[in-house]
Amino acid sequence: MCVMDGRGRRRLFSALIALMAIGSVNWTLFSLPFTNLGELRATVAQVPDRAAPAYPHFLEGVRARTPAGATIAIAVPRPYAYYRASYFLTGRTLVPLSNAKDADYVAQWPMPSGSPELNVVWRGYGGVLAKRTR
Amino acid sequence: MIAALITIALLTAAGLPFARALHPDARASARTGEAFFIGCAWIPIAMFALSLLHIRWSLTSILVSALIPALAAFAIRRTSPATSPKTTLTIIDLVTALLIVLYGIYTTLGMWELDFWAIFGMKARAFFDHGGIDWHLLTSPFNAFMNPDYPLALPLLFDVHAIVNGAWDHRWIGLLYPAFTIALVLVTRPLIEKESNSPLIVSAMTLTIAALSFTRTAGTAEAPLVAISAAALLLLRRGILDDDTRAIRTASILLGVAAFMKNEGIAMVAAAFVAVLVTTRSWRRAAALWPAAACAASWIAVVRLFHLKSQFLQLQATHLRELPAMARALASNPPEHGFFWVVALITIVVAFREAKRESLLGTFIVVQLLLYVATYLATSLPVVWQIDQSWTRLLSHVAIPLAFVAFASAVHERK
Repeated sequence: MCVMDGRGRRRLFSALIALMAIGSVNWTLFSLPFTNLGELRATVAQVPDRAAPAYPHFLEGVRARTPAGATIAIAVPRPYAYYRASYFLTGRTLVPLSNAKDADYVAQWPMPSGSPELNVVWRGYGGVLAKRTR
Repeated sequence: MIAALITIALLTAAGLPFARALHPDARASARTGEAFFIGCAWIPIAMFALSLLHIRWSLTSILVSALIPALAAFAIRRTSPATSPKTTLTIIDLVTALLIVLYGIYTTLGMWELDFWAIFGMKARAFFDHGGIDWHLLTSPFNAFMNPDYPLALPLLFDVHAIVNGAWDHRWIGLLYPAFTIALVLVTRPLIEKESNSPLIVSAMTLTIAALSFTRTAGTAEAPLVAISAAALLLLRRGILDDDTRAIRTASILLGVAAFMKNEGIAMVAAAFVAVLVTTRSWRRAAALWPAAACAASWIAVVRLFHLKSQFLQLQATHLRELPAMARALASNPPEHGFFWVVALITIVVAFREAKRESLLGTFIVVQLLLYVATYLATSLPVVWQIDQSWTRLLSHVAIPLAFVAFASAVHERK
């Protein structure tokens, strides 16, 4: 396929190998030493919760106020928020609100209107944690 | 950070007896890389066994169950001197080392990717809280989003870090990612040196392989899968070229480790089997991949036994009518490192005479991509959406084999 001989061919293929190396590198990594890593870390930490910055704080509050092994019904507006709750509330069994009858607690975010069968345990960061009365 | 470094050392120590037994004539540095990869499967296997026996995970229980049986592998150790010459370092290797350090800074910035906190990290954190694998979590009908059928090696590696650390802390898990790159470089450097005696060319290819193993999404299984499978495939290629049974055996084990990282690794075992068969036309050679097949089959058996549901597969072709839309979606999702792909493909075209000899890696790439397209046909999710979400990522799985085909073709045309 290649019609060149000798030195020209060596140069061509050396150049192609060098270009492959150049093309494989993410050169933005070299900007990291000139970046404020503390600020960058804080920005990265906020990425999953950009739309709802208070939500992880609410989930941490729920974790602190519920025992391991508890079943918590999660009432949130989007599936994304349910997945997020799963990460913060490990050690508890999470169920959707439709299965609240099996739950020890109900965590609702954002703040819901009151329900007569719920005893509010804690309100904070725009949400409420309630214990179900059985 | 100390806990992460201890975790990496622990994984390497657990794999070292196996690496020494499997590949005694490998260079010590390459064996260290192989040991890290093997440890990344062996310790999770031990943790899996502890869970089945209802023994709570602790540093002691993991050390006893993983390290002591591993030491038995010393009994079958056969010593042979390393045959490879010493490596010559160049200024490009300094750039590679610096790049890996910067990558380590990047991967420890934090875990932001959805696949970490909804799948791999979430499982790991839940298992850590539980003190073992929480089968109730994996089989709950409300948790299909976490892909319960994904192999568990990666979450269990995160748990090793949490156990060593004594608490869940996802930041320093990120240090595992440069460790995968370093292990890949250690395993593949002697393989690159076998192709070229130009130190600069060897260093440039090492840089390429290291850089292609980086991920933008730390906390997911992509980078471990890419690193381990690439090491396995390049070692398999060399083993077949040299008729080196030990290298083939080690490659097969590494391919099995890749299958424990992600479902795509199971597909890689099948693709590698086809590639070996096509290349060697020898069932005996293809059968040498039995350890990889056994690893893949063992996880499939676990999925069946524990009824772990897949979110994606219905195992029926439901999207045949959408083939034109699929083709458009595949074409509109180009790979990462587009410039690299263009240069690699140009190199293969220009050096096609030599590239034809790389049928093992070439067949692997084609079969693996065809398996991905076949999987799209059976997805239970909207197929175009799924292609948009995953095709770029899937292409990264074959980037290093593609780079090696281009590299090997170029260096042989250069001669």
